[in-house]
Amino acid sequence: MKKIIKSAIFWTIVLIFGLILLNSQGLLKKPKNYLYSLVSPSQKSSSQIAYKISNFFYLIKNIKNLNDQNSDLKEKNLLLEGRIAQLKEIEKENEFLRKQTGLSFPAAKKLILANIIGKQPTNLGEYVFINKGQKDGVEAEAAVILPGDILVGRVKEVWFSMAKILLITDSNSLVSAIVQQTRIQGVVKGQSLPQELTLDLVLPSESLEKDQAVVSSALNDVFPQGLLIGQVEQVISSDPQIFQKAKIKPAADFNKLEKLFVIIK
Amino acid sequence: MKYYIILAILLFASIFQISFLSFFTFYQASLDLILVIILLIAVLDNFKKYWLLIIISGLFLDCFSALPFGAISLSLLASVYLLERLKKDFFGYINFGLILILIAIGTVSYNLLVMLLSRILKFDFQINWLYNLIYLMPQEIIYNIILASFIYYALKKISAKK
Repeated sequence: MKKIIKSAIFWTIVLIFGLILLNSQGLLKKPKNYLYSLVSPSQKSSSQIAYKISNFFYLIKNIKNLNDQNSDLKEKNLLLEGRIAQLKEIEKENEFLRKQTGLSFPAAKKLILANIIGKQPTNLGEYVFINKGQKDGVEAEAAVILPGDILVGRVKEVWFSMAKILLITDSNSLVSAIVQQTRIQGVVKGQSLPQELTLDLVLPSESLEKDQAVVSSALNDVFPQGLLIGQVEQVISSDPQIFQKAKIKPAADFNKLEKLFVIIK
Repeated sequence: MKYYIILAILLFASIFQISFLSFFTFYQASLDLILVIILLIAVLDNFKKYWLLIIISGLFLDCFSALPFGAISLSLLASVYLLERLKKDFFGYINFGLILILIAIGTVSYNLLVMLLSRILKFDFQINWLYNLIYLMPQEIIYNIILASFIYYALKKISAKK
């Protein structure tokens, strides 16, 4: 026993468990703040170099498909421009009707632009670190989106100059969602796979169809309603299961995230 | 090598791991530079000399990890200890092939321990076990073996020049 107590291993384990205890009580927040403030400038520059290199390799990898992608995107762009024109008309109509009926206008979202400066050091979990923190107004549990109101994740932890974002693809993430066209309700679960989500807890009586858009629902405490999550890719239903499931193709490309918006509550 | 040089290398490697290497994934798995360096220290030298450095790098990574605090440092510590025991009790002479085998064993034990400790330290922490064990871990073993070979030969060349 004396030998064990005298050994370095024993005291190291005691030290780590002590730190785990302090961390669980939130007492390591201040030292962590100092550490992040010290490290974040070098993180920012090295992550930018990493982006440049990875974009270069992505370009080389996809150079053959660029022509096809370009014509596809041009086609989609035309369709979307037409859709935007239609929606602008509907928006004006909606504005007029709101004024007539005395309904209030929904408040515009306040957004903070942030850069990703780090990722999870192990292969476990889908988290990223951003260069905005408490000093910029970022709060815990705030929703994180991409341009076009595409849901990416939520702020899990926030420090003075940095924040940790839990991506919706992580297996610890749950988002209350609805299918936009049919208003079918469910829960979107992450699978810890970069491009895969599952819509779960859908009643068997509901009919899910491929390519339907899935958005965040009003049942969320964290996420505002109507943020795009993805599209139904495959419906998974079998007799013994109580609920239906569907494989969702995320709207965001999680392999190429670089800049994000944090929604201020 | 001097103690403070190794500390600087480990801290630099940790920052490099978080903000550079983790951006490059090959079939979803990325290189684990810090694990490879620490496992090489354990295999090539007496790890007791660098005990404190291993703890510092483990705790540093814990601060930047999404896993429950302490999971990485405890796993690193246990894996390094396992390699030390294997080296002392089972293998006398260390050659290149054996180094690679020990790196593979260290990677497996580290990954298993990280997953287990994450669940123990935070009971509701969700892990995709199947995906990690069957898909990610074998890839990580291969990447770490390749990286360890490069570092080993670089170290050999540096020491030959000296």
